[in-house]
Amino acid sequence: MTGSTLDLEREKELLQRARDGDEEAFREIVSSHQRQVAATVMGMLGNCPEAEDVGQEVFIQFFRSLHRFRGEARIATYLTRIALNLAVNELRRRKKEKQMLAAGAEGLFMSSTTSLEEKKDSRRLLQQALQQLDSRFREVIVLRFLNGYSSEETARILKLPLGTVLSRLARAQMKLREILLPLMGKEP
Amino acid sequence: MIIKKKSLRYLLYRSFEEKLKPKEEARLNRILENSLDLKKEKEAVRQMRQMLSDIPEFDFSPDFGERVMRRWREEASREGRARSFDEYLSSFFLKLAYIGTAVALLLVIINFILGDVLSSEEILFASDSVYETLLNLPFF
Repeated sequence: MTGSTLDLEREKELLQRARDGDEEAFREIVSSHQRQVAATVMGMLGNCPEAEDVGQEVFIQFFRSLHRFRGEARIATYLTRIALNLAVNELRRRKKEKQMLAAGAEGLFMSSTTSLEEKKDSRRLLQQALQQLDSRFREVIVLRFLNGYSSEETARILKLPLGTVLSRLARAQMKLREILLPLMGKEP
Repeated sequence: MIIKKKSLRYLLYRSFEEKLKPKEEARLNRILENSLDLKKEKEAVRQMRQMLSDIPEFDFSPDFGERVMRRWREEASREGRARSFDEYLSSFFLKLAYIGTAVALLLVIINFILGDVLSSEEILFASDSVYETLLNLPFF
């Protein structure tokens, strides 16, 4: 899921048209990148109502910065950066309002009231566990696994040294497993 | 011992993502051969990574694209309005600057023709000496 379906030439053409205010060009950019943005935003925030608002804001910010965007990166990479920044801002806002703990507790409560089958659904548990990771660990997991970027691409997007990303990835997986074990009813 | 175990686990997790140094790799393989727990953990990590990669594709609601485009239209028309106001202002001040320059030049020329009937102080609020100095400059 790392890129869009657009090739580089088509991307350049769409960018130029979008800069000139062509609605169809912008629509095509949105439709070919919305899943990529959804993976980043929902991976960071969970499947919550705010995720769609943040998703919309990603494309609007992209539109506002079109005149600054000179195509030095692919549109997908640029959108992922905007999506990560906005998602992290949203997490900060939640933290400020002390809603993060409530949201986490709500997620766990929901899992305890759902059927046993759902409870055993490892993917669902993984998504819940992701929401409990610190944002700096969550972003590397989201980019590496949910968006499918390589560790090198992840480092480029986050503007971090590769060593830092590799170390964060290892630690993030260790933490994720620690979170998952009790959720799956196993001893650590 | 705990620290040792922790560093070993870190090594195990790193091994999935990067090429370990030969020394580290040998150490990990040696311990993996003798530790059932670590072997189990290796398999669990492999499964967890697989599950993470297999999470179904995310997407927004079906009308997401349309809602973005609605906001895009609002944004584009706002930007268009702002741009036309900016353009109006800059063209207005440009015209004003041209007219001001033309009037000033005209006054200077008239003064030349009338032979200093109007003093330079009256035209440019500058003293005669400043005016003369200016006229003595090579480009006049």
